[in-house]
Amino acid sequence: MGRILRLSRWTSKAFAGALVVGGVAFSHSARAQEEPPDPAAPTPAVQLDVGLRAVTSVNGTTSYGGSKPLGRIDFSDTYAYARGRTPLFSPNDRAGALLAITFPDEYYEPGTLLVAEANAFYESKWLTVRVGRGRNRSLIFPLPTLRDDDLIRWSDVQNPFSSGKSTADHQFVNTADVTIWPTPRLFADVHVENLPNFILRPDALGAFAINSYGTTVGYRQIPALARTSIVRKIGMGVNVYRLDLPSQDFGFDALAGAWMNLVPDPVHGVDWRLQAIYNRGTPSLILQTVNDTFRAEQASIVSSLGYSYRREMLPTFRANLVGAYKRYVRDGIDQYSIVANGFYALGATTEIGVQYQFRSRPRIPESFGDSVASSIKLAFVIALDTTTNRIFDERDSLLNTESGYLP
Amino acid sequence: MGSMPMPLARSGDSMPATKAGMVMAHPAPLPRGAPPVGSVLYKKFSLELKVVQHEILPGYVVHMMAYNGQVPAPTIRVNEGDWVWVDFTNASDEMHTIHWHGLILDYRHDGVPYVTQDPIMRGQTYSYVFQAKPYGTHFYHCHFGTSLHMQAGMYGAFIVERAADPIREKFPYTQDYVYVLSSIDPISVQEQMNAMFARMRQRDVLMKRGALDLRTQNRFADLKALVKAVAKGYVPPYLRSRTSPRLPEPTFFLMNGRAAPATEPIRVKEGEWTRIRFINAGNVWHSLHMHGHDFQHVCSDGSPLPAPVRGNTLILAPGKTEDIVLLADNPGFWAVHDHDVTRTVNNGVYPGGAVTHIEYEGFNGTYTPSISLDE
Ligand SMILES: [Cu+2]
Repeated sequence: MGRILRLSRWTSKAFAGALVVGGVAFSHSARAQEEPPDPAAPTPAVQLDVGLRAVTSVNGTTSYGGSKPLGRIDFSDTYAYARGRTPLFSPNDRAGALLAITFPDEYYEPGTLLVAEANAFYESKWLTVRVGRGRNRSLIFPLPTLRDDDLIRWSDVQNPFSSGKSTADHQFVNTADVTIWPTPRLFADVHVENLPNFILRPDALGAFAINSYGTTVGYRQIPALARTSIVRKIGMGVNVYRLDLPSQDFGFDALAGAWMNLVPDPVHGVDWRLQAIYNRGTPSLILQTVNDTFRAEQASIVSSLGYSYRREMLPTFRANLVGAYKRYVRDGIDQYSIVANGFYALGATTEIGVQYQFRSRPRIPESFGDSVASSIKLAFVIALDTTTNRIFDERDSLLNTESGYLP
Repeated sequence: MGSMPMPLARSGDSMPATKAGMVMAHPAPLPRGAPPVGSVLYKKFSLELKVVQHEILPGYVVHMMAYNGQVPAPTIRVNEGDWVWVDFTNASDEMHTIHWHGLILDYRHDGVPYVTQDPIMRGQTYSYVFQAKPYGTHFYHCHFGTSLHMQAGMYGAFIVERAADPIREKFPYTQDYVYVLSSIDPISVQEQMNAMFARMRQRDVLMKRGALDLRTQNRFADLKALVKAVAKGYVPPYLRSRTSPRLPEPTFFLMNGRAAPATEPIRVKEGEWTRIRFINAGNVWHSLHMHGHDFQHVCSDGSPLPAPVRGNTLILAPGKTEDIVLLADNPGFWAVHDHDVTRTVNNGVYPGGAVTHIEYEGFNGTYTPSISLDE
C-alpha cells in the first residue's frame, strides 16, 4: 500500500461492490493527500484503539544428535498496533486504518521489524472489506501456543514462495478481501493475496503480483458468548495459487477446522480444537531445499485440548496440550510436534507461564535446523489494549446481535 | 413516544392486563391493610422491561432498557388512597426492580435490591403493592444498577391526584403536562449494557449448575465479610486492576426521552392555566428558564409549597420533582431551555438538548419558528 486510501461517500460502497463483483482494485486518490483541513467542517469522531503485546521468554533448546543445547532470550511475536475508525456519512457504515508492527521471528536479528498490518478497512452490519497488508487466511483459528508460529509448519497453510527465513512469510500478506456476514455469526470471504515471494528476485516484476485466490466460509460465535457456547468457530477454506512453473501453473490447498467448548463454563472451561490442512502443492516434488518443504504435497492435522480456570470469572490459570502431525505425501515423511503449556495470570492482561515443545521433523533439509528437538520456554506475556474516544459498538456485540444492529 | 400529554396508564386503560402463567419471583408479603389478593379494589398495572432501540433524535438511535418499551415509561396516574398493584415482568437478561420514588409504602415494596428484595431475574414477575400516597408528582425507576439502568431509560412519572387538588383550586388549570428530564452518555450506556448482559449470560451458566457463589457476584453478607475477603486476596471490581476509571459524560440531554429539536412543545391556550410537572430522572442539574412569562412554582417533591413562588427559572436537581403553573397571557412562541447551556447541545453541537418552547393554540404570529441544527 503506497498511498492512503480515502473513501468518499460514493466510493465506500462502490469500492466494496467492485471488489465483490469483479475483483477490481481500488482507485488511487492522490487528491486526498494534499487537501488541507477545512476549518468550517469540524473533524468527525475517530475511535482509536491502540495496543501493545510483549511476548517474552527465556528459551532452552536441546536437540538430539545435532547441535549443543542453547539458551536464548526471545521477544518474537511482540506486537504493537494502532487502529483508527471513523463513521461514514452513510449511517451504518464505518471505515478505518490499521497499522501494526511486530518482531517477527525468533531467528531474526534484534531490531528487525515487520509490518504485519497496514490496511484500510470498511465495516457494516453485513460486510467487511480490507485492502492492504494483513494476516492471511492460512488458518481457521489460532492455537493455544505461546507464540503464533510455534506450530506454524502444522497450523498454517505454507506459503509456497517462502524461503524459510521467517515464519511471517506464511502469515502476513498483501491482501484484498471481502467478507459477507449474512447473519452475525455466519461468514463467507473471498480474498486475493500477494504471498511474499522469495523465490523471485525482489525486484522482479512478479514479486508483488497477486498470486493467491481463495475463499473461507464458516460460523463464528460472537465474543460475548464464546466461553459459554458449545461451538466457538467452524470454518473451511480453499486457496488456489499461481506457481507459474514450467511444469505447473497452479497449486491449491484446502483447510477445515472446528473449535468447540467441551465444557462451556465461565469458571472451569474445557475447549477442543481440530484443524486439518491439505496442500496439493507440487505432487512430484522431492524434498531437497527448504522451499520444497512448503511446496511439496502435504497434509497436516492439529488438535488441542485446553482447560481454563477463571476464579470468580477472572483470568486465573490455563493449560493446554497441543498435538500436530504432518505427512509429506510423496516421500512418506511424517513430522509431528507436541506442545504442553500452562499460564498463570498475574493480572487481567499479564501472564507468566511455561511451555514445553517436542518436535520431530526427520529428513528435512539440514539448513532447516535439527530434525528432533525439544525446548522449554519460561514466558512472561503482557497484552495491553486501550480504546480512546470510543464511539462505536462492535458489529458482533451482544446488543447488536440480539437487540438489533446499531452502528 | 413523545406525544403530550403522556399517555395515561390506568386500570382498564391501554396497559396490558396481568398475564396468565407468569413465573412469580419470591413475593413480598402484602402490606398491612391491603385488600386481599384479587380484590377489585386494586388499580392494576403491568409493566414489562425489554431492550429497545430508541430514537432520541432523527438518525440517532440507541439501545435502551424500557418499561413497556417506552422511554420514558408510561405515566401512571392514580388517586390518593388508591390501592395499587403493579405486576412487573423482566423480559431482559439483566436484573431489575422498580423503586417508587417519593411514595411512602411498606419497605418490602420499595424496590431496592438486596435491601428490600432480591432483584428480579429474567422471566420473573414481581408484584408491587402499595397505597398511593402522598399526593403529588412522583416517579418510578429501576434501582438495580441504577447509575446505568436509569441512564438507559428505566424511569417514568407516577402522579397521585387528589379530588380536591389545592393547586387546581387556586390555579384552575386546563392542561397538565409531565416532562421527565434525563441525560445520557450513549457510548457509555452501550458499553456497559454489553458488559452487563455478557456477565449475566456467564452467571446464568454458573447458576444452572449451582455454582454461582456470592463472591463471583461480588456480593457479601455485610461490610465485615467484605473486609475479611479483601484481606484474604479478594479483588473488588472497583480496583484499577479490574477497571479503568471512567464516569459517563452525558452528551445528550433529554426531555421525555428526546432531545431538541425533537422535544414536544408546551401547547397552551390563551387566558388559561397550564400545570407542568418537571421530574429530574437524570444525573445532572437543570436550570430551566422560561421566556416571556413568569410561572408560579407550586410544588416540590410533590408537596405543595407554603406559598407559590413567582419566577422564570426553575432549578431541578437530580431526583427532584418540581411543579409549576403558568398563565398563558402573552401569545407568541417562547423558548423554554436549560440555562446551563452546556445542556443545550446534542453531542456538543448547539442547539439541542434540554430545550422546548411554548406554543399558543391558534396563534398567528409575524414570525414562525423553524429548526436550526448548527449555529
Ligand atoms: Cu434495571
